[in-house]
Amino acid sequence: MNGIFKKIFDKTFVGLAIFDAKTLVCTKINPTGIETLGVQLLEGDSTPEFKISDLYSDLKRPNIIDFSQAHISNDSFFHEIAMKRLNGQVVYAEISIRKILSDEGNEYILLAFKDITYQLKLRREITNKQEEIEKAYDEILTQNKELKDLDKMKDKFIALTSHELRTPLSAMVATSEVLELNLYDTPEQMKEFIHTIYDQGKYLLAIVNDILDFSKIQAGKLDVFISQQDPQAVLETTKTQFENMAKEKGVEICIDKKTNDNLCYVDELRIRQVFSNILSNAIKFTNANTKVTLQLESDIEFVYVSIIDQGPGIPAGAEQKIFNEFETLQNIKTHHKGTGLGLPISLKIMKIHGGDIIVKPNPSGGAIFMVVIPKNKVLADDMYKARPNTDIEDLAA
Amino acid sequence: MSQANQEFVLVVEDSAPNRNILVHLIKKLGFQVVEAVSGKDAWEKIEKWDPNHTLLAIFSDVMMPDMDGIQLLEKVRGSTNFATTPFTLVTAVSEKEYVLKAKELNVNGYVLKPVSRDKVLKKLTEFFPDRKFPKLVA
Repeated sequence: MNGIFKKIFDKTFVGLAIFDAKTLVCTKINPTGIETLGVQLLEGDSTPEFKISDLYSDLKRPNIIDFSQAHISNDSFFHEIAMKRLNGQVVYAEISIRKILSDEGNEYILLAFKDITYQLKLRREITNKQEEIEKAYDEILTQNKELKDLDKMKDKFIALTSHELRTPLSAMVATSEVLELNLYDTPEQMKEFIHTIYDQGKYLLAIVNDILDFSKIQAGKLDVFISQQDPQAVLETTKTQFENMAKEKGVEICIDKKTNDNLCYVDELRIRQVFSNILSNAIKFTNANTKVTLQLESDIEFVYVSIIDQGPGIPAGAEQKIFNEFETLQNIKTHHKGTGLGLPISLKIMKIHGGDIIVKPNPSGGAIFMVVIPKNKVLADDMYKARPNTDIEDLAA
Repeated sequence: MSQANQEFVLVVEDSAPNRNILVHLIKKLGFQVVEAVSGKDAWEKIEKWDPNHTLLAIFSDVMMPDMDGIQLLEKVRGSTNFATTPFTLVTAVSEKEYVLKAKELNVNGYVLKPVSRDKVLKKLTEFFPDRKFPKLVA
């Protein structure tokens, strides 16, 4: 090899190696080729002893072609192929195979190759980054949608809440005006109107308390004072509290005590709130002239207070929905009276206690709400403390 | 004895205390009142209306379970006998979107909650300008 062609052979940035087509032994390799393939040359030696088969690779990685005998049988070109360097390392290369015939009639294989390991690594890194960016972008889109949905639900919630607040307030203002203008017909009617104002005021207070509790829970600022208690006393007070409401519907409330082992860790005021929420729902939804049972059971870990009604029951699949604060807002125009926060608040209160509320169908028709209260200290130590002032009126504050 | 041609105002409101006071005010202004606890209840009463009696006007709340005030208005406007009966929505400010919808359905006006003697009197005077109303003073 002489003259200008020798210089091109020596200087080109492409690795060039010529192999005898019969023996597959390398007969000539240029400096770039020596470097790329990691060929060790002995001093004074210009042609190393190696065969093209020494370059075959067996990485067997997905999406990577291993250089093999199959590639040398025909003239071909590969963008990306794994070749084994002579020191055993792998080099990724762009290669071309050409069969050439010398003037003397000898057949050779010309292997031209360009090391693309670094470019490939860069490209992989860019692909990985792109994937990361795409993933992050998708996450942002999802979060954005969630935030928008949440924002919509909050708007609905505000609309519903203002409607709920305005309804008793409107009744109170309109009824007071009638009293102020002496527009009542009889003293009895006057008393009735006064009662309406009182009643609606109480209802309004309950709604405001629900909203305040809910926002405190959302902000993680609901104070709980947990101590060892017997929930039976609370259950009995709650029963008394709702007896009038039950009577109007011909509903009987009874306590079914199946255990004396009732001591559990609970905030007395909060558990009263939970029992009230569930019991008022039970009376509201149980069929007229039926029974609502308050059942007390326990095992080693928990005390279970079940409020069992004989109403239509909770439709299958809706058991969790009723605890979702926004579920009741799906149809604002036709929603049930109240903020719909009673059950979400109750469940959150029980979760704060390390307890739960489990809903299941009453085998004889209706729903069972089972309040689960831990009997042991399962929470952080600072949760167990006495309420500074146990006056129930404080709950409204 | 037949109850020939009595006149009624229909009050539709799901909140009992709000309904009671509106009914009371309208009665005090000299009308007989039929009460409905929801849009659906009102529509059932309208469909079964005794043709010997007159339905003078309808006062309806907007946000109600089963059928809301707008749906009721739509049904009333689409009916043969009550398409032109004065229909007033008793509403609150936040229900603006429904107010716009009601306008398309030719609502005859609104009474803003809380209801009051003056608001109800003004509306009834508008519908029945020739009628003598009792003076309701303290």
